[in-house]
Amino acid sequence: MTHLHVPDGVLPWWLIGLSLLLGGVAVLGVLRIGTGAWRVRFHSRIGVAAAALTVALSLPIGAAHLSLAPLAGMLLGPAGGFLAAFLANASVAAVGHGGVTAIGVNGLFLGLQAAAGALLFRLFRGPLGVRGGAGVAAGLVLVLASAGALAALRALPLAPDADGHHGHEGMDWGVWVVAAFALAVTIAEVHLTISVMHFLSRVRTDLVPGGLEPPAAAPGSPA
Amino acid sequence: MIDEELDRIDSLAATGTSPVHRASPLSRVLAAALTVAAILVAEEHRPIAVVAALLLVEATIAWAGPIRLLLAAFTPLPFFIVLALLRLGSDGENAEMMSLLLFRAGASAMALVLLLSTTTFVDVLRVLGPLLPRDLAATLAVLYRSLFILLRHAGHVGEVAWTRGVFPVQGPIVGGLLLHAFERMENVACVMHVRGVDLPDPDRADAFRPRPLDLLPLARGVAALALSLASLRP
Repeated sequence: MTHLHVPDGVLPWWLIGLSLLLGGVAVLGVLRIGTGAWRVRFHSRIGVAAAALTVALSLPIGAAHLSLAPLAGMLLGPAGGFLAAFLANASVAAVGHGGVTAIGVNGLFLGLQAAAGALLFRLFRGPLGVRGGAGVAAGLVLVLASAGALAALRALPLAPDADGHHGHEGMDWGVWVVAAFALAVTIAEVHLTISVMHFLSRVRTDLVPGGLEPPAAAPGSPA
Repeated sequence: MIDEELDRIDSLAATGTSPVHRASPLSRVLAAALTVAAILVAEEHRPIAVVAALLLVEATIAWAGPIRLLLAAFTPLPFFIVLALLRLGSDGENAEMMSLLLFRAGASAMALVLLLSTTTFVDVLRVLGPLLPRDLAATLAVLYRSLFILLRHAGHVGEVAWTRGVFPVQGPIVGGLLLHAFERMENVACVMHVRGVDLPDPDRADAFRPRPLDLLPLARGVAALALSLASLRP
């Protein structure tokens, strides 16, 4: 529930077109970043991160799965994370996981999570350290995304509902069931994000904005 | 599991010799696009069911596992369970609309899985290549290759972790997997860049060359769209 996998045939045409246009412009913008060898490495990292996200998006944990979008954003920056998440969504759509016409909506939603994860991590990494920053950033992003997904699914205009017969008819307990499930998945994803970022901050400091986490001070050592 | 499913789809597409496989990649991609359009245009269950039946017939001709294709139609089910919890009225209001949406989503998933079961990812990229920026096509190629690297390596690491009694979803294991794939793909990309090859330029002309067997997937796509349009209420 931290992300949408809207399938084909659900959204109205105007929303499909608008989201594809916005997504296309954003993707083209990201592809123009950098030059030469740096650009080649940047794109290969995006490809690998998108593959990791594809695996995460396709492995079920019960009826849900992780997204790892904030983690991709923290590793690749807002632009790279956005593109990785967008491409991961497109690739899972090709095997029926989310619609091919809904690539724009699904990709923008997940891509914005990656971008927000990157920005929030940069904000909190200084005062809270790698683990604290990653945890707070991923937690904030995923809770907001879950709330956004719930609200969107309650309010989205559905394709055959052309007579203006919109949502909010659902069962109230249904919302709580979905919210509780989303919270459980969010906790699992935050835990994984923290542990991966902590590991990477020790073995490949260049991948983690802010570099190596300072080692814990030994007992009795001067501050 | 995704690795087995991806392996199966990839193997079917790469090794198949059926009449559908021998049609040009362009015709198969066009047929998939026409079929998805037909499904989205349909306003009733019946034309969608007929389109799904057409897809199953083609999957049988292509030896692409019609039963598995039928199972692929249930991929969007979790989304609809959530949607039903949020939107379905307690008196069953919206139920008919939901079932139509489920039909559409399931049939569309079948069309896409059939496309990838009969057409390799490289061929799909060849067809879409003229529409995509060069860098995007290169990144998609890296994505596809590293997907298999990650899945293979994850399988090995998972087995080792279980035999040592370690829970396999932990930072060092997932982070190590990412590092392994990052380093491998970066090396490949940098070597190709130094040699002046930023993207292995595939032989696009072959993907667009018309063949007699193109009629098979194209006829399915056109029939699906015609059926859907004919079923529309005036």
